[in-house]
Amino acid sequence: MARVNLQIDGRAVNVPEGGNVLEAARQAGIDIPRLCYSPDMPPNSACRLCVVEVDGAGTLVASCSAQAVDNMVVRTDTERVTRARKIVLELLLSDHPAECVEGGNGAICDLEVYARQFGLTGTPYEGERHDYPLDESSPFFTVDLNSCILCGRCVTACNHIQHIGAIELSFRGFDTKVSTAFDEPLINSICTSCGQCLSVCPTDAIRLKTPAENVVKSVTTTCPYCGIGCGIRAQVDDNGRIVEMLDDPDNPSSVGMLCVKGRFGYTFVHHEDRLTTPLIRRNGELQPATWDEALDYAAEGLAKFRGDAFGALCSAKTTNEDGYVQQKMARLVMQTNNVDHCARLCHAPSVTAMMAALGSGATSNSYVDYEEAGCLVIVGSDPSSNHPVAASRMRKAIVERGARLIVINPRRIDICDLADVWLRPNPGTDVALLNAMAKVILDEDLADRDFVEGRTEGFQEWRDVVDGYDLQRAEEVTGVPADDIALAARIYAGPPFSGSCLIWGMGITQHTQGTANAHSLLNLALVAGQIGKPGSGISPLRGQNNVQGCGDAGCLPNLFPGYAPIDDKTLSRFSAAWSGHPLPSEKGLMLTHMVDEMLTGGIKAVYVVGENPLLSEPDLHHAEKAFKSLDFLAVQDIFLHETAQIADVVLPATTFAEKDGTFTNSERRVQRVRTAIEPVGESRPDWRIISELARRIGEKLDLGVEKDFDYSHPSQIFDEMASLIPVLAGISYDRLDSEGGIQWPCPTPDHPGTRFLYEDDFPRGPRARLVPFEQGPQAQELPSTRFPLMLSTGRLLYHWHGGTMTRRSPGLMARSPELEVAISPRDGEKFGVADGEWIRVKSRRGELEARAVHTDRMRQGEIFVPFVKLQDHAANFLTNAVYDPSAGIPEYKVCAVSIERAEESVEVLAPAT
Amino acid sequence: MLQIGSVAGLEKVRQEIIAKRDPDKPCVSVCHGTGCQAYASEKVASAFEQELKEHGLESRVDVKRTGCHGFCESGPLIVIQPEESCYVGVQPKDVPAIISETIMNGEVIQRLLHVDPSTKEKVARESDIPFYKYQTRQVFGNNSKIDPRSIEDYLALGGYSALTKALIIMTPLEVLEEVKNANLRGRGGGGFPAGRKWEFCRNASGDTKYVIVNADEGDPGAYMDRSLLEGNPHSVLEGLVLGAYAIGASQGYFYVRQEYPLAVENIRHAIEQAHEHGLLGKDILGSGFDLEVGVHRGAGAFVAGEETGLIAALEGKAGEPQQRPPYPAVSGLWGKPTNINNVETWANVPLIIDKGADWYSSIGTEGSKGTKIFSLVGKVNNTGLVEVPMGISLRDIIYKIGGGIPNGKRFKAVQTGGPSGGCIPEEIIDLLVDFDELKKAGSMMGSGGMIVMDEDTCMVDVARYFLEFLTEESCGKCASCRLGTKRLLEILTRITEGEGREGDIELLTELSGGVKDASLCGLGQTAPNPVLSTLRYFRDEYVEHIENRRCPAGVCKNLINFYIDPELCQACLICMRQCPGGAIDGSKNVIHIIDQDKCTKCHVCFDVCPHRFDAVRVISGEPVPTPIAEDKRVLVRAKGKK
Repeated sequence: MARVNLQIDGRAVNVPEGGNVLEAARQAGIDIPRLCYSPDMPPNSACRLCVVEVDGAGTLVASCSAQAVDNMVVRTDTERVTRARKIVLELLLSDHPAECVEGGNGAICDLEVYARQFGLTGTPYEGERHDYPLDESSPFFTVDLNSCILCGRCVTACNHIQHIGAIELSFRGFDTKVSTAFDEPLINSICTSCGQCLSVCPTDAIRLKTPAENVVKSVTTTCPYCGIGCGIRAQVDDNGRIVEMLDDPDNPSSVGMLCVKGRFGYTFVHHEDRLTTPLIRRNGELQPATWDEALDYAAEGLAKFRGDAFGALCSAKTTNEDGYVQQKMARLVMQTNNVDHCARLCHAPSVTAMMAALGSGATSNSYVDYEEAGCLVIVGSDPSSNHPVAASRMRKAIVERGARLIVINPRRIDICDLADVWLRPNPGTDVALLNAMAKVILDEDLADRDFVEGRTEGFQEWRDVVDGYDLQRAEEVTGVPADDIALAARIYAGPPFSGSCLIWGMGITQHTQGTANAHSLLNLALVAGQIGKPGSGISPLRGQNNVQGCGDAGCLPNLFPGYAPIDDKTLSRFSAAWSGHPLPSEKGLMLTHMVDEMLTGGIKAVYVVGENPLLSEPDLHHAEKAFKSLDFLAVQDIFLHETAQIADVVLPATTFAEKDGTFTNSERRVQRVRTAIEPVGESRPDWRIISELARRIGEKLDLGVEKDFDYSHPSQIFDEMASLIPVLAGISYDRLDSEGGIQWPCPTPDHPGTRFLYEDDFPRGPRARLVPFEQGPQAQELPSTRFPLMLSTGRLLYHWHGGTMTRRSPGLMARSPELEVAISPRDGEKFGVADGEWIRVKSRRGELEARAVHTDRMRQGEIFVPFVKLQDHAANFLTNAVYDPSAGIPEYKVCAVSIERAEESVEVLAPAT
Repeated sequence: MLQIGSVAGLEKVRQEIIAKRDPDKPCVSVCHGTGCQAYASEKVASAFEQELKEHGLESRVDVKRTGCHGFCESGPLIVIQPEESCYVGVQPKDVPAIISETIMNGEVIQRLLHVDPSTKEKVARESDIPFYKYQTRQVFGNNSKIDPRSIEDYLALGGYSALTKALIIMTPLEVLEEVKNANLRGRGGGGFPAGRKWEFCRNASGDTKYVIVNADEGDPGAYMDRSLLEGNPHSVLEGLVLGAYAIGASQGYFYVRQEYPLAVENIRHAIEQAHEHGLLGKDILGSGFDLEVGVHRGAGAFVAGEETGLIAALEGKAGEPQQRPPYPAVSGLWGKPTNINNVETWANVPLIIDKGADWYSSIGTEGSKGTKIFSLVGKVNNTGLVEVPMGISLRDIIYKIGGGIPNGKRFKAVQTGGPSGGCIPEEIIDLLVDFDELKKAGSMMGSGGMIVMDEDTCMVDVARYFLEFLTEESCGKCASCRLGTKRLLEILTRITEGEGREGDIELLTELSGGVKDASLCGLGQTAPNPVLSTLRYFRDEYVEHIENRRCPAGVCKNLINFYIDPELCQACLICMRQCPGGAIDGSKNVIHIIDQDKCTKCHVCFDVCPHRFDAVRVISGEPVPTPIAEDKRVLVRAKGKK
């Protein structure tokens, strides 16, 4: 990059071209005061504190927005500059709480700092001061405009970082203020409480309701919520409690952003419900026990069922190391491949299809590819709710760079507002829709011929199937206008610039046709050649923080760590690494099949870590019956949730905040999890508990595996994984600590990591496979006279999955206190259910009660229930336990239900203030 | 209308238009500027048409609705050609007489003539009226000769010949050089050389470039851009096309104030006609040069007239200024190189190309060439739009063209440049008006507003008045302008309210300097001008207000009292009846007195007291004399005065 030479206060400065004068001065060791400028935001030039004199310029110049150019002569210390800055400070102080300078009100205020620096104790400018009422409507922070200096940072954060657009500067002149649309309280606006405004406010105009005090350390770690993998910095006080969570501008996945859960949802860590001691069921009741007692009890209970009567449920919420040790225990100690985790319930079809078509089950690209893409296709995913930070990056691409957006979703989700094309298919008709799009691409010669010819196989067989899906047929089956389908196909195959990204979620996978749907998406990417180059790629967005890592670590019944197929080569490789012990060679059972096998007696003992199947399984009555029929159930978790409550032994684990390890996010980035606080109570990190349990079982059965579980730190576990999983081979804790997260594949210690996959070939070989599918039946269960509505489930912004963690965050609960069923107003009328009325929703399997909300987001005949459990009501009492034949995923997205008015029987929590 | 695909084609059309016109045919030009329309000039025009029809004269006499003639004071105006007879204040009832006497018989109707306020003489020919006589109307002059809806009128007067000249014989670079050599400076206020601005834009990298006409004339007292756009839209459009040609832009915009509906209508019409004549669109007159032009209506913010604010508004954002650099010439509309000039600047361009830079630069001063249009208002006899050569003295404008100060009052100051301009005092009334001289005097050319003030004007109050406007119009983005204008206003307000403090003058001076230096855009950078220029020339008035609680001009309510001189009061009841507050006590033959507690200082008593009595006095800085004793209030009239 070209550099420029300029002179600042007589010093020669050489800086890269394109930077601003303020940064150039900083490089020369000159600190220019500023209030509105922040290095990670576009300059606003509003506060006028950073003005400098530039030779040749008539007026003073704001150094934050003035570009450093060759031969520029800048003075930052003249009398004129100092006078202007002083006057600016005095003016700002003239409409700012006086106590700020007179001694400080305890809050951090940059204006106060600069006032002191300039020796100001007050202002000569008397006059009108604003007296705004506080906006206390957010459960997390207070907005006090009396301290606001109108620097505009919050507005920039909301509009140009998060791209939410909830706040703007309204009115003008002295009346200018930060406000929502129509100056409503924040809570009534489209604000998502992400707190980005809070994080950038230089005064205390936007401040935490509970201020973080006595912070003694800041620990950089990784967010425990969704699969985006945002960087967080836990602020720990002198009592060893996390008192604030900050974003991490250096994290390349989140680039300084956080969502409401990431920033404010950490409070579950210190919740009084945390399990602090092991529990053993004695006389039918769970009673406290010592670790020794509990571990022995668990070892005893599980040892009896060594072999295929045992099943291990791993967790996509724990670390890579935790998952790796648990699958190792199942395979090595318990001699079974009955290992699975909750990805079975989310992206199993994506992984199954990707393994078949490409040879790897990972997201091929990075979030930065969304930002660079010319077209984004979001299918069956509501990123604004489920992956808020990724959604912000998508909005950036659309709003700032002009990328086209195609949304495919039966529901009118938030991001539809930005869509160029919104396709609204009938649920369960994705194969027909995607095949028809592919046919348009073929018919209109939009396919990437070189890619198809050079890098795919199975084209003709696939084409024979796709040719049957003309637009007319597709319109009939999907309900989407033919022209819209064709338009979407054309944009996807020929984006205005760069490439196209395919992004999908549970709307694709949670169907009995999930694998077919996923294949149809992959076929589309392959025929258009939208993979293996920047700005393109395929992204199954991961719902949990470590879904990718859990799979990588081998928590799968059919694959060993690193997606190694269960064959002789793999078995001997792992056996050799694991002290030469024999390993089970039969594929294990998938999670959903394990549940079924519990009822038939095939599975007798289960070790559940960090999962709550009695909330996450479909048809909960069925699941409960299955788990209750087990001979032995060991549950390891942080709360005594529904599954733990029926366990024989409960082992208290630490949260992410109390342990070391790694998470691997949705863009294959391996990131460090670091101990911020001491374990709560007697809780222990999962890897330690599992290792201890494995050793004890080994001892009891005299297996000689103690050495295989002799870990003193998770880095040892990671090193073992890296030695067995080629794509992780070049990654180590040392590198992660010094360089930050690294994206696999990273085969060698000097490899920088990989932003996108498949540039030259595929893990399965030089060619990817086009796998044809016909449109099958829409769903296993369709509306009938008795159950006339189609139910779909999904998530909410303010809750995470079943809500075990988010329900224990008062702020999140305040934003979403009760279960709401979204119905179309016309269905409300049809079924006699008014907006806001308490209703009962029934399916063939169960019922729930919740509040009906009329919304035009829903189409007539379809209703939506989030699957969080609130006031003992959960969507999975209704859902249908039928599975995709190859991936085993349940059909959460479609079942038939009825609705009726109900008496309001549940005490609703008042929102926290 | 067929598209005219070539320069020769256009010239042919022009000759056909001219050939059809008889220079001796009588034509009644009825001013249809917004001012005259407000005086119902349309009724006058219709009355002419109807009356002519009734006399069967409609084919022998033309009636033309023209743009603003400038002499708005005296509307509705009509000019009858070829004699150039000018009638002022014409009403529909005057029309039959004008037709029968003037048009049919060549007789002048004396009562409709303009009366020179200084000599009291009647003037018959438009060009002999002093208001017009001392002007140099080269940009504005055609306004009274053409119907703004008629491209034929414009063509007949040689319109678009500058464009044809440029397209045939000049390269874009030559056009640019000509404008540079003419040293045309931007009429929008800053006075930046237009040619250099064009050059920056022309040299900026990028294939897409924009040219914009800034018609967001925000100064409430100036309306020359409005009148040009309303009255002679093709001249502005021709300038824009020439600029686009020189710069290499393919898209242009008119950004017009929402408040100028007629301007919007007329420029849209002009754009349509230009398209039909092949003067816009693809391959203009066969030259291969393309230009499309759109019209955008502003959303009503003063600061949107600042060029970066205007660009933001044009992009659909809040009209808030951006820090420069980068200048629009490098990164403007949608981030592309953009050239913005105001209406008057663009309207000068065809003249320069048509007559050449040498001719153009022969008019004006060393640093400011050509003419400038001012809107002359305030305490001056002849108000309206005046176009004068750069370098004319303020005295000539005010006395020769403006006819001096009404009611025998003394001239005190003239405020130039719009709300953020400065006040120039009597001492330097011989100042030669151009960009640099005005700036040196602490004012500026600015919008071209020119407000004449007489002795009854309080200069502190004037400063307060303009700061009030600027405080309202500050967008609020930058701290120094948002808070600085507000605090300046508050200090000025307290001074005018008699609450001024020692040190206020110094505080005003320091704060003004800070606001000028630190503010982001031109609004804030010039907002202290009214304060600084009045402090410079009328500092004693500030001192009087602060130290002696006295308003020398008798304007600031808190500092004045009204008093009826018992020696002069004739107990005529006039002031008593008109006093809205019922503060005056008296009756027939009982000398009136003012109850100071009830007096709202509305000034009515002062204004209505007959001049021959002059009994009401404004008192400031001294106590109000004790009212005359009750028993002495009965008026004893001097003998013979009854």
